[in-house]
Amino acid sequence: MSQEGRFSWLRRILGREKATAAPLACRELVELVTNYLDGALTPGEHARVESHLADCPHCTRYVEQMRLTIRATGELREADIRPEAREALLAAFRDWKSG
Amino acid sequence: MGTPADSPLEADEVATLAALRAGDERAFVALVDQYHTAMVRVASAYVPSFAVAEEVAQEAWLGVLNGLQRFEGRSSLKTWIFRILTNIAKTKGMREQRSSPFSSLFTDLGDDESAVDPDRFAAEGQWLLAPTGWGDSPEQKLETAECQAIIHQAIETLPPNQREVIRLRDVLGFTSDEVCNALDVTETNQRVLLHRARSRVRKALEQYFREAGVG
Repeated sequence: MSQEGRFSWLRRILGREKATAAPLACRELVELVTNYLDGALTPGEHARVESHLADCPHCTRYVEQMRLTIRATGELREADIRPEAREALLAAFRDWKSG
Repeated sequence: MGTPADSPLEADEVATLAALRAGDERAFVALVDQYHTAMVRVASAYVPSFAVAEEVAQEAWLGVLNGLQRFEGRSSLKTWIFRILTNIAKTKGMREQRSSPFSSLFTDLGDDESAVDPDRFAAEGQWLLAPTGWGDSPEQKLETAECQAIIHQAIETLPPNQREVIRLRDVLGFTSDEVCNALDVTETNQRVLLHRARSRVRKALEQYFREAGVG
């Protein structure tokens, strides 16, 4: 109890966001996922998300599925440049070289 | 204004730049192979047709060649190339008179979209219709041609501003800063668009897994 009293001022400053912010609802969390995965949340918001995920298997699954989605999207192969376009550019390069 | 700071020339780009200036054809072709398709994609956000986007990309390469000697390496080569491209795309887009002005494509984000159908949550905000599992080894399923086609289709049907952001970020692996430079979009807007795009793609995959009987 005395420890609580002695450092409460410090705890208040450090944990200000945590202390005053209401816990996240699932509906709010799904809107924060992109920023969360990009590391673009404030430390306070980040902590709120992690705290929610620790207790919510549904949101945990959601975030995992989002991660899978991003990874799978990264597997997409863009079409290669069309040969005609490549030829045209090579010709342009040779022109430029000799110019 | 919110334009992110330029990162200087990358280590591997120094060699490429030197080779280009020396007239090394292979270096040029390698660069073209690396960026051309992405450049056409970015241009397609600004101009009315794929054919015009292809023209824009070709013009951009000429701009790159003509600017090679003057390029000071204060930004990365990639950023510089895409800046040239975006400038040409915007000019051409204006001239081709798109129905909505290009400048609002990444500033006017339109109505809010929910990442998940609001009906899936209770009044207090917790899940009612929680996400169902995607089976034992979703990673493997996601690599199949079938799933890749679903992702591809989902991206193709996105609104143009969302489409270009997710294509650059997630398909082509541009960093947040590189996307902001290439598309001349603020970091915040870029993230909002990425969020909406990813949410839609996830939804498409969720539907796929549900119909496949594992989700």
